[in-house]
Amino acid sequence: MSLTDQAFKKKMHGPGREVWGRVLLLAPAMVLLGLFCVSVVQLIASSFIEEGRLSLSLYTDFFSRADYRDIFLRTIRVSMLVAALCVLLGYPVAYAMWRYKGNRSHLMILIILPWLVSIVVRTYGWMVILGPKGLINEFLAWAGLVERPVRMMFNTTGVVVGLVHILIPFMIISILSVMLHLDRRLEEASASLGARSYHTFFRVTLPLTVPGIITGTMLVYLMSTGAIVTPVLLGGVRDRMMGTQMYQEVIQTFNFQKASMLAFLLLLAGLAVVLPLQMLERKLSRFMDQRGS
Amino acid sequence: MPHFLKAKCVAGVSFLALAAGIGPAASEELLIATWGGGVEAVWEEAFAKPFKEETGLDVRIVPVPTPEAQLRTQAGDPQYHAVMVTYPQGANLLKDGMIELFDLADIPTAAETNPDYLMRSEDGKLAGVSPYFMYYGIAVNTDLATPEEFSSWSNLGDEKWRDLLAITRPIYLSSYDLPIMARAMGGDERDPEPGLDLLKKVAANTLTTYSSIAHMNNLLTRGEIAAGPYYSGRVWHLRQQGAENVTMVAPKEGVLMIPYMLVVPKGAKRLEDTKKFLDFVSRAEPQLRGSILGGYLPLNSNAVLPPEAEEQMGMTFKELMERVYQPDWQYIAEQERDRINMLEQLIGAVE
Repeated sequence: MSLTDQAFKKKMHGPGREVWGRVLLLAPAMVLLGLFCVSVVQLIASSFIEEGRLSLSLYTDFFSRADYRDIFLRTIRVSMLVAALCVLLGYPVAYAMWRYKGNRSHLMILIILPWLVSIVVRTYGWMVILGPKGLINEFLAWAGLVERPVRMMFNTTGVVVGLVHILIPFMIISILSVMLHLDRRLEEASASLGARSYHTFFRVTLPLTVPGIITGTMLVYLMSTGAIVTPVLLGGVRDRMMGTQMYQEVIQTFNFQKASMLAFLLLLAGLAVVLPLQMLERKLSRFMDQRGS
Repeated sequence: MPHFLKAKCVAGVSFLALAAGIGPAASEELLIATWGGGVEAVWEEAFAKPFKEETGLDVRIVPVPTPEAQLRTQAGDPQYHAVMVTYPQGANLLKDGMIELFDLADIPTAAETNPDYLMRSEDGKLAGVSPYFMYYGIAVNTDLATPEEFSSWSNLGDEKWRDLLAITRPIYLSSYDLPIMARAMGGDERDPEPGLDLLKKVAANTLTTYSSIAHMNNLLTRGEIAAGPYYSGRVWHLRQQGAENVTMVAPKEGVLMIPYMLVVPKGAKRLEDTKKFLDFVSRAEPQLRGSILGGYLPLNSNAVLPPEAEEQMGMTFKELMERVYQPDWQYIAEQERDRINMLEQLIGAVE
């Protein structure tokens, strides 16, 4: 074996190999990240350029229109409501799954089962239940409780119901994943110190699962802000959201600049909620670490 | 090169070719993009199958939500050999230079089409072919309303229909609803003001905006709505499928004539075969098959609508032609964005 071969082998088996290994492993992720960043920058930049010059006209036009301002605020309002409802409904489910003594994977399959069906089909399913000629209205009319069908869809209620149904699994999984890492001895310690079960829940379990709630809230909120199918199928004529408006600009009117502007505003609306939540999560973790130590 | 290495190279290149979509299967069929919701089935039976029988060339009809969007997003590398679009969409595609242009000699049967509905470029070239038209009237669910209650476009504005109507998306509202309502109320596509007042009342009565043909079919047949401006061919198709509770009304002020075009994306491959298909769909016989199956009204001047089709329509072809309104589609296409903005604000302000 020549000296050069030996030096090469030494290099490839030494600390240099580890560094090169890491670089190679990171390379695909860096390429993806680079492409993503370039696309986002390009997307944002195109919304500030009009006829080759820097311009804010798309943004001023947007905020000067009352219907667009309504769409923007409605998107934030509905997304917050959906996230809150997902916490309220998803937490008990996650808690019950955590407590379940049998095979938890069977319950998990039930939670993710709706994902096997297309979102369009699931949304149409709500029409059959909530529509003016749906099951509930037919029953109410048959029972003589109402004369005219109750409006449960083609309005904001329908959109919220549809989005909660579609997004709640994300909340359940986020909360459950945190619960599964909880040390059950903490509950035992709380009980041995005389705390009742609800005290243990509110002072031990709930605070420790807040990171799961925050992660789930961020996921659900962000996905709600960009929802298209549900607002289109379950919303009324005045229930447009940012996602549906973007869809129209991209697929129907081919106004990509306007769609970029809407996407950037949506990004800002997302960050306005996600960043404070992340800060809160970090503060809580620090606080709990301090209390724990 | 060792035999084994050569085999590996061949296998690798074949895999890459397949991955890139250069397989023979991709070039065997002519791919035609149309709307879904039943449109593709009619195209399959009326045009694709008879064409294959005659020429041996395979045609696959691909249903997509917005054919024009497919054409635009695939600009430079078109995946479809031809795309079905509405007349105003054809005008916009022609203006943007996104479609192939042809001489009449390329598609000789196009000469049989009424020249008013053959779109041409400034230098007289054909922008595609127009095989048929539908009319835009009012679809009514007869469980909830009688056809007589919608004998005028203005009936859609009656308060008794609150939450019982559906309207289309702003892009089609600007192209179809606004011109015909303007016309019905004394204006036209250049003077839309009278139509705006009616459209405002209609929007106030509207339960939802339908996002696709399938969506509106569902709303109508389930009785979620009593009525809505809609396409004659779609109602025809619904009735053929057994939806007896849906009917089409042609209001007394007239109906909007919507010609459809088959256009070829710029740079599409297999142009010679595509020209043969365009020539085929320009003929009277397949267009008449489309009439029977889907209620599409032929634009070939030699086509004579059979009595059963006229019976289904509730009037003769001649009577229909006296009631149809053919607006200036070029003007409508030019005004599209401004009108969409205007209509979005109008709907957004409705209480």
